[in-house]
Amino acid sequence: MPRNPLDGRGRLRVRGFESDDADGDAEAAAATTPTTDRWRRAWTRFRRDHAAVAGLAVIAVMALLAVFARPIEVSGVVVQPVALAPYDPGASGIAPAYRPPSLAHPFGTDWAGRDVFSRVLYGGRYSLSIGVIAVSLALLVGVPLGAVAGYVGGWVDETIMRLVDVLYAFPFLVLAIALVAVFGQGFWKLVGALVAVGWIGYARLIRGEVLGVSERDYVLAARALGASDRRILRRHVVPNAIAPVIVQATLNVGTVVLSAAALGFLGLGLQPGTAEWGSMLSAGRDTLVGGEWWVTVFPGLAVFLFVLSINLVGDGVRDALDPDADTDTYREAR
Amino acid sequence: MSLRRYVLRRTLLTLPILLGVSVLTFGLVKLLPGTPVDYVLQFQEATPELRAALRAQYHLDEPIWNQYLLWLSDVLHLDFGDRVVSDRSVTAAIAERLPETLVLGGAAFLIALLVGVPTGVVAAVRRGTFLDEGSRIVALAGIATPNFWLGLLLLLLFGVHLDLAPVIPPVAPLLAPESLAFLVLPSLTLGTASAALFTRLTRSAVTEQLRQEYVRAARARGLDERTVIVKHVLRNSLVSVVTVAAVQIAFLLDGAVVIERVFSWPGLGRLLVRAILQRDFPVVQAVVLLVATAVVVANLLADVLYAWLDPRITY
Amino acid sequence: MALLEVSDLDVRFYTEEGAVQAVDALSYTLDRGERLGVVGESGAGKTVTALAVLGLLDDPGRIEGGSIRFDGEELLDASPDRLRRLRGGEIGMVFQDPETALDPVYTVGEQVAEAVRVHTDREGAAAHDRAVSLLDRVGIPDPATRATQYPHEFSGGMAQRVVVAIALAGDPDLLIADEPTTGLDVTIEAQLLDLLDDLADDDLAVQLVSHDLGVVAGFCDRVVVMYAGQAVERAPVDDLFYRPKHPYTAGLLSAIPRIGDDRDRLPTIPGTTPDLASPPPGCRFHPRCPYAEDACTKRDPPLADVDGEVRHTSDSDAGGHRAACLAYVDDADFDGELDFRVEITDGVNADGEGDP
Repeated sequence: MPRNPLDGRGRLRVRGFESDDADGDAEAAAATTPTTDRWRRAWTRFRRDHAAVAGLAVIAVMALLAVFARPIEVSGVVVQPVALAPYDPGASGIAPAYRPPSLAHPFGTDWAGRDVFSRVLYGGRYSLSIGVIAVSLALLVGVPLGAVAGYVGGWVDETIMRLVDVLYAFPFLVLAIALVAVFGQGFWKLVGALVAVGWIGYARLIRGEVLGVSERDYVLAARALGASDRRILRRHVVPNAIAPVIVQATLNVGTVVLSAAALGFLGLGLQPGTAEWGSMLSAGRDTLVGGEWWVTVFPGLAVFLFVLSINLVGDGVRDALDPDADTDTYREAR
Repeated sequence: MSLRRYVLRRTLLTLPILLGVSVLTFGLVKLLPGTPVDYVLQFQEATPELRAALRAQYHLDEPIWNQYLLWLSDVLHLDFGDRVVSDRSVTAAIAERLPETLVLGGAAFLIALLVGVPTGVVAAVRRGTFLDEGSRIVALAGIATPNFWLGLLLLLLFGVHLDLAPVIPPVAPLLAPESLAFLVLPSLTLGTASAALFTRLTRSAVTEQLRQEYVRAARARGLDERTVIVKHVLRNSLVSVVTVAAVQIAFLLDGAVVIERVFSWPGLGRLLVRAILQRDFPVVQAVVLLVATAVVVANLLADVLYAWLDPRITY
Repeated sequence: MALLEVSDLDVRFYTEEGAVQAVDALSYTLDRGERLGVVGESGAGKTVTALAVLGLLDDPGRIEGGSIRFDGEELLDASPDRLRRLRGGEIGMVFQDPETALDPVYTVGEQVAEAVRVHTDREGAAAHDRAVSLLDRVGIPDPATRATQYPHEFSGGMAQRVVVAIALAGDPDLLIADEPTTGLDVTIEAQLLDLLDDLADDDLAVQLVSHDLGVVAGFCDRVVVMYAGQAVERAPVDDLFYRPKHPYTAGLLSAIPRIGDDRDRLPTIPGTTPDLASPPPGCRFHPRCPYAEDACTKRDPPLADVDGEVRHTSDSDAGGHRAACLAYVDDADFDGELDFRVEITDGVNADGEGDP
């Protein structure tokens, strides 16, 4: 017998190993465990991240505090009657100015004799709403533009991406400042500036995802099986591409809140005197030498707590949606 | 292609971006209600002759393309015009403040780099340990802290309550010891968020590298762990760090604007904010243009550094 | 004494979903200059075994039991320093994907020289010269120039030769090759196997891990077949291919497509490899085995001598033909007959019978 009996390939054949009998057993054994929906799996993973859940709880509490701080009226109808804040945030002179924290005023009073506690509670409305609205609008602008750029390609892609490149050259805050300078201050102008600066991140992200996903094998396979473009987009491209965007958006709420506070601090945000956390810190800066720490500590603490919580949630969302990615491909503060 | 050709190519590619930046900056001012003339005339007597002279100075009767080109050629000669609030040239005002911001930003960048990167490496190598978890928490806190709040708190603590530091910068040359001593708090404040970011991103980069097959192969060759980490993993992680560092430039510029206000540091940031409140638009335009150019140049340098570090790129 | 003796090796991975038994009571030996093939499907535990020998298992994997003796020395008790000297020294390893096994930012020459510096007394220029000569030994043309190039400038086959060169730097007694040809074209694969052949002739023992039966047949002296973390058959190569004794082996052989086959569908072994976190009770192969009986669901067969004698000890002796099937266990409640056989398609069967 030669040393390599299989030198002449194909000469061996196995007889007798007939697979038909075992089919039943094998099929039964291979009876699949039901596959769970990806979103449900993500939610289960998210729930396991204690820090993220804690962050979500904090945000929920802050949101509730903001809503129930003072009554809300819509066209004369009192929609929300609860007033958790003991005093009117705008009412000045209700107490002596610059009183340190006490039972009556847990966060003390500011330079105008206003209750800091009420102002911090109420201030949540501005920060949270700016954060959510600005990010939502930025998504509405950025995602379609980026998706179109990625899917259509060609000169449409080129144009949008050149615009994105140019806008990227401006630091976030500097550009926002410039826009405020041009268009003026106020709630919606502030939101507008933040949206104008914020959409580019999503556009780039989704464009990259769409481009990447379109090339993946499972998309090619779907196409080979005859699936229509729309179906491919809906069932394969979008669900996979949307995940990083969700993560980025979550983290960006924090960035936006920080930026809005920064603009408020610089005096470029809402009307001076508004009970917005950043603006409150601006006043604190002016009177620093007096040593009235409570005017600075509490509003800043609110911002810190909110941004920390949202970052924890964002991290949790990222780990839930893409547990293998330990890479921080999502840029937090930009 | 060789490194030189790559550098050339990348440089050429940034020119359109710089062009776009200039167009945008120019256009921004054009979007203002009214004209620059109106703003100048806030501070001066509005005679018809003055108006005409100003209109001519700002080329307001030319078609917009011409206005842009004339403005651009001025800019390229570093002539940004005169300030609205005074007669001084914008260029002079900027030149006065630029070094202050550079020193502040530079110090902050160094702190961020020297603190953030090693921490990130250690955290990744000692993954899952107390050191790792601890640094993660600290980094998270660092990113979430509004830098102006941190600055104010530090000033309150060291400047007011402990009386260890002055609350405003000393009247002394930039590089004098008193000035540099004053710089400690602001650069620490400014560098904190960046350091936190560097920590997180370095940790990710190193963790990612540790998962690569070549690390296991290196160990299989009998290399000791220190060589594997320092010689192989770090070198490969550097490319990610460089990219992050470039992005930090923009981030630091943003932060400088705010920190300069907190510490009354006479840099470009303070100039910008004051100019906006005073409607001094030539200054706003110039500073924004300068800052954006700096970011573009920083990114270009980062790209070149990246190519130099990773032999696969220039291939 | 055998060069490498693995006895009752137990490797477990502690994952989120629980403990997974990746390798279960595995035993085999390797003599000096011998070539052993380790075959099996993906997930059978072949690579884990190879990594375990060198102590390269990452978290969450851990060696939980058994023994690995190299040249008489128990590796599981060895100090980290000893293990480090072993790696790339007496035992070299070749990986599956050469492109990722090399550090992309250093030249090839530097990476070979690095291994030389660690395992020999050479430094500097002497190490570099040795590196170049190693590259030459593995058949890389113009080695001096190639040594200054980076891994991405090498084709797959050439890069794999570099990996072999690095493995040879310490003048090893044993080379563990984990799927070295899997990513390569067939012609390049043949060249690489020739190289390994050449090297093995110099009294280098080779443990070749592969899922490609053809490669194993052409190269190895003995073969271990793994399934779901266990060894299911162990035999000299001739015996394995001409007289397979375990149904799984027969299934693998029958699944190889043949030119001139007249069947409509490609034969396969139905079902899939079991989830190692919760393997089937009794014999792990029974859900896919056409010969399975009731007894198979109750009892996990030991690796029994196919001549009928039951040996329960962790006897990993080199000779003999063993299969883990109740059919060969005397006191097992197994009634059926494993009626597969190997035929050589020119009409003569393995025992020489049939019309020529």
